[in-house]
Amino acid sequence: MNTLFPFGFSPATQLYLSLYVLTFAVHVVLMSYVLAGTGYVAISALFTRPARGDEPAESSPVAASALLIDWLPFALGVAITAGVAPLLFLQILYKESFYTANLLLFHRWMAIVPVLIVGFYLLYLRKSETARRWPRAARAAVSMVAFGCFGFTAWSWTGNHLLALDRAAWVSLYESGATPAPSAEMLTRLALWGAAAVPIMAAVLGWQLRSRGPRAGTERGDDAAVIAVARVALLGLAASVALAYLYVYLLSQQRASGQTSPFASAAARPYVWALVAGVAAQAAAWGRIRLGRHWSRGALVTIALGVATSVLAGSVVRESLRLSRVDVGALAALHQEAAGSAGMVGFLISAALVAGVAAWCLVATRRALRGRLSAQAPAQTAVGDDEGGPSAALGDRGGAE
Amino acid sequence: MFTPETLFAAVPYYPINDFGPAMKGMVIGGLGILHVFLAQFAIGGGMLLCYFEWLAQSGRSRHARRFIDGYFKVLVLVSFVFGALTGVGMWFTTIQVSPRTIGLMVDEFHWIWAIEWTFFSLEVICGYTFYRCGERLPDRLRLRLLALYSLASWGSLFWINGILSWQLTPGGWVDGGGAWAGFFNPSFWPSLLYRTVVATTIAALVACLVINLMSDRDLDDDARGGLIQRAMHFLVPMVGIPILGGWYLFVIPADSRSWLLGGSIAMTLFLGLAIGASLLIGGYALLGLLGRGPRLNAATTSLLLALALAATAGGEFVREGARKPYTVRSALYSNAIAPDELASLRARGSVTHDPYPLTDADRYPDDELILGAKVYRLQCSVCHTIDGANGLVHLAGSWSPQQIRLNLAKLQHTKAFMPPFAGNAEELEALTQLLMWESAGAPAAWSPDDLGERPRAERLRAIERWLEQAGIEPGTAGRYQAVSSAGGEARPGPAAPPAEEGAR
Repeated sequence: MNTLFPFGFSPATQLYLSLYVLTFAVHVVLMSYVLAGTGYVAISALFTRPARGDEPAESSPVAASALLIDWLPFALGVAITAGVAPLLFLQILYKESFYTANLLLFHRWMAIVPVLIVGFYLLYLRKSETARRWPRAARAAVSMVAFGCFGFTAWSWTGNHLLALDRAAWVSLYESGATPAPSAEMLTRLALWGAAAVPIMAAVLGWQLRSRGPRAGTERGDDAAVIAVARVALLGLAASVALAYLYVYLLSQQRASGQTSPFASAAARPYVWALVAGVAAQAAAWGRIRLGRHWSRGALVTIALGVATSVLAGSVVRESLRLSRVDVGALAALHQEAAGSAGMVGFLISAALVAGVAAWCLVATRRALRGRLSAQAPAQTAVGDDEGGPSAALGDRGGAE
Repeated sequence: MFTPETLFAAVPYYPINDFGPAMKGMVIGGLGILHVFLAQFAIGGGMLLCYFEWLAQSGRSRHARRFIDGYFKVLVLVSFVFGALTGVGMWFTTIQVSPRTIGLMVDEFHWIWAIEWTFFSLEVICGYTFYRCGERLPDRLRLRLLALYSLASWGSLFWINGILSWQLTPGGWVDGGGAWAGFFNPSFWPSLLYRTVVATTIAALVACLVINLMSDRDLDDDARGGLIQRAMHFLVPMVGIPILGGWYLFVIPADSRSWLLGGSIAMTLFLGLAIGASLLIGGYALLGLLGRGPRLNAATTSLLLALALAATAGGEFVREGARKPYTVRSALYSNAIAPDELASLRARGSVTHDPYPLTDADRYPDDELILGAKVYRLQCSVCHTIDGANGLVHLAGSWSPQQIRLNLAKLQHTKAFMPPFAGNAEELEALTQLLMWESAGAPAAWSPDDLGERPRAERLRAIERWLEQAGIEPGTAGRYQAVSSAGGEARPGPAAPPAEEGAR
């Protein structure tokens, strides 16, 4: 492949590759928020001090986890919904390999459905009033188990992805009835996904906290939530870079098996540099937030752009690695046939219509809530609950189930 | 690296998993029934909430608002979580059972599936927005959000219904009419309307349960009774079920209809279960609406919900079973072999190029039994087990060897809801030996010649003759083509089986 991704393939393959990458990138943002967010909540339940008496709840170290607890069930629902679209295009692109990997993993693969159901309900449990009254260890345990559920799902997906590419192993694996043993590549890849999820989650969380807390340059400069989230984001970025380096090194050791480094592929090289630029922009902006100790709008915009760039570019690089192992050109005829099936125009119309209606819902709701807030007496103050602050400040339901 | 040779093989081979004593259909059926029940609850629930919100806002029921928030919580916690994830589970389970079927569906309908996805996304967004903020929103916006939620969830049903009903009645798609011709197929409208009525029924029953479970602080006895009476209005559409069911029966293929109306007693019984359970719910609803029955309390409502689940189970079993011998009518048989592949598979063997060995090859005393086990795995295991649910040993264990050969060779005529045997004579003989060996308790040593059978060459010649007589057309094709063209009673057509011979 010497042509920039997605060019160099048949028009139909280009179309499906582009749609897959775009929808996958959206899913990655949501999935990262859930995976890293659940881990953050679990750890902060053990190690983060509660808000002090004189400290605004939205500035306390628990503000971040309180927001996450409030939003995680919704985020998981949307993440799963958003995951359906790339799953659809994935099947068109790589039918045989995807199905075979599903079948070979069998019970372990199917287990992700009940495991996700358990994880989903644990998020709701963690958000409940009942759980708020539990001791720290119990709350942490709930989040830990939920994190374990999502970690298991991530592990299964990574295993599925790599097995789909390892055609040579299919027959012997089926005959043995075993599940594939975790390889260095798989563990590194999984760790890379986990680490990369952290700055993505932090970027979304940063905007959420900013919308709830003191504005940049107008309020106190020792916001503990800002410091905590910035520190986590920078750690996540550093770990991602180290693991990405390790992963590229492992790939370079596997050249004999047909695997190529993303740097060696002309199709992916510009995206690798875009990925690097996106990560660098995030690191610089998080550094600025950490030093300034407030949610600077400019820095958050830079972070958002950095995340968008790195997630999109990372998705392309990931796909290029897969394409270096699969002769997708041989599937061109099938893609062409699939592209000929009716409904694309209907889909585009439907997508535009639904996006418009969904945007109207959100805008109308926001306006209505703002109107209600401005009509209320400003005497409403945050309650000193160690986890209910930001939600309560905006009058959200928080964990009212 | 994949090669075009493997990718474009006439029959793509996938690793086939053994589900143990559970028939694969039981696994996907169990999950499917649960998913359909929850999905239909979500659809009807949205409509019911709109109705109650309107009741509250128009002053017709001052207690309706209290009910709405409690009901929506149930809707989110049960339907959004369990319903959505069992939907994903259905997709994964279908891959486990028949990757070729789901592959064909995705190839043909992915854009329509993508449209369905946009509607489901809207459903989630509207639903969660109402869930999080509904209590603080003005009346007009509340009603609009609920209406959008309801419309989106029903729209989701609209789109997925076309794909599912296409499997049984592909309509103009078979003649090259494309995805839209397959989507708006003959059973599309009756199926859509039937499911809509089922959705309102389930929603009404869940509503009655939620109202009964609300605390006395929230509702006094009169208010509870009033709300239950309102919720029962959503049972009224049930009067349309007999008409819609009849319409559905009328438009499905004649052979499928014949399975339901006595041709297959299991399907007839499940149809009876669906009808009986629906009648009980409908009867109770009628008494309640006329004010002549006792008020629906929590226990009764739970029982009626269980009946609704049983009716859903019966209906889904019937819908799945009626497709036999196909998984996509005229395109793929139940075992995911395409009709136009049969001739070549008869010539070269169905598992000759199957790269996947048996996982338990050590269990079999000789190569012929191994071959038979591979044939069983490819052609039979999607609907049968060896000696578990729908086990072959139970079905054919008492047959004589020659009877097994004849019945397998003319499988589509032995039972018209079975697909034609798709292998060569050696494979059929190997499958026969496997069935005999399994029926004999899987002994360590096995020699067909010790059973006093005719020489192998003679046996193969007989099988070849029977295979030729059976042909490669489905068992029902000639018979029901004749029926549909005559528009009258079923009578044997050109593909009817020849006079049986040689069974002993």
